[in-house]
Amino acid sequence: MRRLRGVAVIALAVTLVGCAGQVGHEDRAAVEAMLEVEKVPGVLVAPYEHLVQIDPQAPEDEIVATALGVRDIVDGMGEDRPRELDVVAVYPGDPYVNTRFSSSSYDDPERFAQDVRLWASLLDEGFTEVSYNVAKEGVGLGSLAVSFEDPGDDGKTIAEVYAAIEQALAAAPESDTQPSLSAVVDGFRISNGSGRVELPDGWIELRDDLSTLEYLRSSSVTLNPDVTWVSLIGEADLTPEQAAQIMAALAGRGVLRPSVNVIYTNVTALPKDSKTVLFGAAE
Amino acid sequence: MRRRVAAAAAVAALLLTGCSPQYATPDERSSSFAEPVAEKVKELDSQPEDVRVGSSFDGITVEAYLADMSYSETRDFIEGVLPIVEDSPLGALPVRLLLGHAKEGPDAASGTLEWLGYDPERSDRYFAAVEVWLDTLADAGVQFDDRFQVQAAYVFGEIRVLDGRDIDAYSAEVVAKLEQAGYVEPSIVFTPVPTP
Repeated sequence: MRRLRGVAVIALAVTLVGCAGQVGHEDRAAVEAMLEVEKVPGVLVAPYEHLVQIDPQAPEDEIVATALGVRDIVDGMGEDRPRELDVVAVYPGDPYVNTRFSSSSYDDPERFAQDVRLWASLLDEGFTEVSYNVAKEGVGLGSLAVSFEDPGDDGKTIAEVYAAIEQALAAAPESDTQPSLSAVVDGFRISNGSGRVELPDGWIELRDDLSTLEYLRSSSVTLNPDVTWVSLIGEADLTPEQAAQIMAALAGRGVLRPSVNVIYTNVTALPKDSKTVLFGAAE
Repeated sequence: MRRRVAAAAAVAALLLTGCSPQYATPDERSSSFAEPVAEKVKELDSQPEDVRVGSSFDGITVEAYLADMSYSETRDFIEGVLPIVEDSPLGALPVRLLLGHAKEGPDAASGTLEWLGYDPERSDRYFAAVEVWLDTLADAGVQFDDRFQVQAAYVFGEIRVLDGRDIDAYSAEVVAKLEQAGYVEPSIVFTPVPTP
């Protein structure tokens, strides 16, 4: 019997020492939190303690409640608390995770709830590619992007998508900071780069003009207070006539004011040789 | 004697249960999901020569070397694999299937189909793309330039035409098959390769 007790003591010691040696403190905290997070109603799976998948079909209130439940656990990890908290959603057919809420300022539950509600409200509106990255105060304002890219689906226009983003933001409580907004529809992207400027209607309508130019594959317009960037991608080198058509479309919608850089990229060429500056002093 | 047995059982339980929590790291837990999927895939009737299953925080990847499997055998295999992946703990994340006919070497990429995500309501699209891929591999006059990528909304491929056939007629035929299955403007680039 004494021998058996000795074996038990050794076994206990071996097990405890083994555990301590095998698993670092941070890893152990992460695994424990991950398993706790998976018990929160609405969490489908938690590949990490700071990365959870939820059902995008759940109503806005449920998504917010789920995210808050996860936040409470992760925020309670003390010194092992991860830098960011990510909530992702996958729709049938998604080739990648395109819908993600990411926050590095989740220590404030009230603000976190507001931020995640803004994201969830756009899912409720029927958007299936919504990315909201909430940055920490002082580091940046974060970015909110909604894409609508399913060829063949009549879907929404870029103006409708941008309007939905602005509407969701207007419904959110007043805040000193606002994220950058961007909308992407069928390869055309518009963005108010600084998060504080409004996009004039003409800029949104520019998409219709550019889409008639069949040699352009995609285009993006990013508006900042001081300078606007227009990036165009096409199949082949531009002829002088094509370059003139593009510039006429931009001028016609008032995009050449106050300062603009227009870059054309030929996707068939090597990147370093492929950029053509059509207007402005692009890098 | 009974006390001895109880003590021995306690020791055994202590040694068997080991550490709590069960996984050393989140990565270890994610990768542990691959093995049960691989076991179930091995039980499928339609079985490629070589199947590997991997899993990570972003989902399950199934890699299969098909050898000489026909379209219907390939389809049976894929239709068997998808529910197994969907039933696994990471199954709600986008699945990634890599189907290959050239195991390694310079032709490996050009003989690979990369299937990303799955929407059962658009299954016709995926399987039409698999058929186009197999037909292209079986045609000595044409060759893929890189991976053939299949998604619910998009299909991407680059096909080199080596035998001087009418490229417009050929591309129209391939594109028509994909459009018939539901793809809108399939992104297939056809490039003639001049014969020396």
